[in-house]
Amino acid sequence: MNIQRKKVKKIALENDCEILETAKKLGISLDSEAIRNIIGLGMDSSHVESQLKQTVKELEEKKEELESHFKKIALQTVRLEAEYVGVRNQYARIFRDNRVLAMHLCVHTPMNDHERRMRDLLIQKYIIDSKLA
Amino acid sequence: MDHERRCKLDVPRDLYEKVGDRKRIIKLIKIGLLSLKVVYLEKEIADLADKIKGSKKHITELPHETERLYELLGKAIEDRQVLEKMLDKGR
Repeated sequence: MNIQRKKVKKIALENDCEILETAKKLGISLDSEAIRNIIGLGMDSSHVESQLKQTVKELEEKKEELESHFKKIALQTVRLEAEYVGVRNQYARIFRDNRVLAMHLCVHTPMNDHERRMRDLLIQKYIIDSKLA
Repeated sequence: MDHERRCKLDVPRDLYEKVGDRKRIIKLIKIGLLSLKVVYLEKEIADLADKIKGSKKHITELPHETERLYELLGKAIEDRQVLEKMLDKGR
């Protein structure tokens, strides 16, 4: 345990607590290994702090813009989907009604050729084809 | 006291010695965190752009699908009238 303690150096953040806030927002812990990796990233970065802050600001603005745009599209989608589902349900209900009526038609004797053709067509559509589908 | 404890970081000693001073360590941590934040934001923006693209495609297709269903519905209503008429005649 003592050996473990010696491997790290505690440093006070003083007025730099924004580090903790940023880490919290990013959902990352600040254990010594994470700090090693973060410092590694800092060393590899070719940008200075002010440039990165500006980039973050611009990206956050862009993200907000896209989120707002997405919300508008989502509202439009909900409206169109509601209409689609409404028509689909209405169609399904009438189709089921027609299927029942077509079943009644099976025992119906047609009065002429036209009626026979029509009867066969409707039975085909609402009973035979519907079973195949 | 608690705040003070929370505002301390455990920096690996080897790294601390390599960098040399507290201020530079803090600066590197800030730059590292900001770089991470840039990466996260870029990913979120790319995901959002994909979602917008998908939704746009969906809202372009939906009216056509709805129109097709309206046509089917109209035909089904016509069929029902024919069916009812034929069954009425048979009674």
